[in-house]
Amino acid sequence: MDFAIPEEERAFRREIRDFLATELTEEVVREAQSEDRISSAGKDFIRKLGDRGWISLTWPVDEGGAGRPAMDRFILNDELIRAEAPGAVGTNVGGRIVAPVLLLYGSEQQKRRLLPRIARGEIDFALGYTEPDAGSDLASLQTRAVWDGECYVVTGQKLYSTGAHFADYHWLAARTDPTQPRHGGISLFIVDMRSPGITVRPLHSMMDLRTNVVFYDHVRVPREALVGQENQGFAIMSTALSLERMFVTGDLRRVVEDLLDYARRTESGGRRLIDDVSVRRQLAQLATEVEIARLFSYRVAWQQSSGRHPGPEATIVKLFITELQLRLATAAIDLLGADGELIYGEAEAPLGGFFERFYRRSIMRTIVGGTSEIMRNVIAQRHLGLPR
Amino acid sequence: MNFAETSEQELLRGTAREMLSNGNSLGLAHVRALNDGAAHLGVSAGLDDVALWSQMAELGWLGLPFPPEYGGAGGSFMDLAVLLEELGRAVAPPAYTGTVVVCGMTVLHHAREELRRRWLPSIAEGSSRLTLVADGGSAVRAHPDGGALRLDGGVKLVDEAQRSDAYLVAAVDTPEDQQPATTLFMLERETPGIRVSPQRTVAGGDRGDVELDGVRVSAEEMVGERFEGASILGETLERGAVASCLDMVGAGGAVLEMVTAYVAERVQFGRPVGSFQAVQHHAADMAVDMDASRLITYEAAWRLGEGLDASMEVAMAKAWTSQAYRRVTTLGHQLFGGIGLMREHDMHLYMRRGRRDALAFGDATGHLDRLAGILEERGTPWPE
Repeated sequence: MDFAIPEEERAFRREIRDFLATELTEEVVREAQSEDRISSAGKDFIRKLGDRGWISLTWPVDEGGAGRPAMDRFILNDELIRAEAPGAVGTNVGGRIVAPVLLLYGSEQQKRRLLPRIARGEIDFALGYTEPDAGSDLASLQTRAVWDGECYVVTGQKLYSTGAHFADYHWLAARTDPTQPRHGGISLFIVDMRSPGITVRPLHSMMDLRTNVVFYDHVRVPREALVGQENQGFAIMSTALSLERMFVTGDLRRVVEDLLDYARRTESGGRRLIDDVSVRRQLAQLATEVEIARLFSYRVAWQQSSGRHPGPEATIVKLFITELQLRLATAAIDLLGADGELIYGEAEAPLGGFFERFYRRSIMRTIVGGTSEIMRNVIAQRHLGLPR
Repeated sequence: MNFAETSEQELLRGTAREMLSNGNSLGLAHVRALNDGAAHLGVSAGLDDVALWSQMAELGWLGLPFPPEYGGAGGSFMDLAVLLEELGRAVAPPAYTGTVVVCGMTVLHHAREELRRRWLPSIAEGSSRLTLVADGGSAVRAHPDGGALRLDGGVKLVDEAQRSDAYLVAAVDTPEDQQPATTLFMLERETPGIRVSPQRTVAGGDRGDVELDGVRVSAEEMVGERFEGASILGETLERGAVASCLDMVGAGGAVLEMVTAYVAERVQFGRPVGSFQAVQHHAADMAVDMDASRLITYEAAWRLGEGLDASMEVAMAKAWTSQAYRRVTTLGHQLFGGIGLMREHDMHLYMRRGRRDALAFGDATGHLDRLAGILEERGTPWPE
């Protein structure tokens, strides 16, 4: 084992930081973290990532990418999330999730038509997986896509489709063969969001993040929209999920540093918070856990970079990081005392209420992208081999 | 970063696991007999690990980190880490850490050539055992006595207290008109004025209080220069802390495997209990705890091996692993149910080992406090 960070990785990190220092304006951050996340500033920023070749960083060279190892994408995501920049989470679904799948399963026509525009940061996607009766049990989804001889006709509804109100395309999972059992009859489509029959309604979350319900009412979807083979959708989604499982800790490390700083300069009852033994121990404990999370996340990036397939390691990192984030956020608002109740944006709120909103947003992380309970099931059954 | 082991390390791990597995004289069954004896029959019954020790010498383990000129194998600290993890997996008697990692390596790096020649080949061939007599350095004091020095004081619950051939003693030694400093001495067991009182402990083994009463020492016995023992001792304690972590990493891995195999087989209500989510989630938490312990511990070990400042990583590793290993043995007992409470079962050996390892070379709270000091000073655990 070797825990050293090579100089070329350090250099790439510095290059990203230099880029962020000039291109990541306050306006971009504000918009990236805002409820709707629709902004020309944010889109410009994503295009600048594209101009640098950073969206297609890890694609093969003959597909228009830079052929860089997964470690570079990891470092980029880590720096973006640390700086609260767009492109790492929530936005750039095209670059993070769709493109890797298209590279593996897409038709030549899909790749030719979509990959260059994804790489330039011109188009974005929203995920259409979850339904009212298909959450953790995604295989039970009900949205139908029926072939009528010319087109697939799609009817149903998709829940928590974040970004659907600004996305150009929907990355849709729908049932194409109801006679097959559960996992068998599902297909994946790339649906133009402007298609007649699609209605997007907002769902406003307690995290101050807008998400959506997307209704499909006899939406006609052409054959070319099908990704991979018909009824292969569940396998493709599993691949997409494992490709998506790149977790970074840039945001958590920053929160630990902010908390240390806050505790060093804030007095309570005539002494600094950091002089309180329980505060000291809690900060030391959290710093330790974030360091472990950093190692967990690096390990997955190393596996992806060195041609190893992350197995339980990717599940463990999801479980550990999201539960840690919630512990960290809880500790943060507790540390603020009564001021911890002040809401984000309130003038008197410490750090502008960052910790308050961080807490609310942390509650979602142990749910989104696979609940902690599902993660534990997966570790126990697939990694430890316990019976189902 | 690279999370793969070298082929040499894989080979060493394979050999060690085979040698320490059940059915071999080095194995857990033998170890259990030793531990049981120590825990329940009094200390003396736990002492007969001579066969085990000489086998470790034959395998080259006792000189693993020493250069060939001192009879060693010239292994790296990461090689040593692999062996320590495997010893922990088999809850092997803990003398290895004290003799080789704590005292032996301190002699190697800081003692004069005569002391190195005196002790290292002897350790490597299995003829000498060494142990550390220190508890942060305040309990033994050095006083000028004519032209020489006299040591007085005592340290409680020293490892391998009776059967060690020599003690590495840390003494508070105050230069004239200055702040107290530390000086280290290597003292043979027969040195007049040293007395050992055996103590029975949860984890068994040869533990005891070592008292020094007017022990006359000379410059020949010093390890490192006079008054310069504090930084050497700090390094020694860091190595000890990481060795304890590796012991728990190995032991915790074994607990997880034992428990997983058991709940997959054990049938209640007509199905394996391991198919119940309540059980699966406990097992998953144990797996995450040990995986985390392993990574943070190997990071600390790597830094020590590279000669980098490891103060923060060692504190993190010891704080986390001490807590995680306790959670893992507690859940291990819960999942084994009644059978795990029986003395014939191995589970209690692993629980007992945790009581020892969690306290050895600083407990979780102590390391969190040390870490907090480092963080307050640096402002961040991740300086660029």
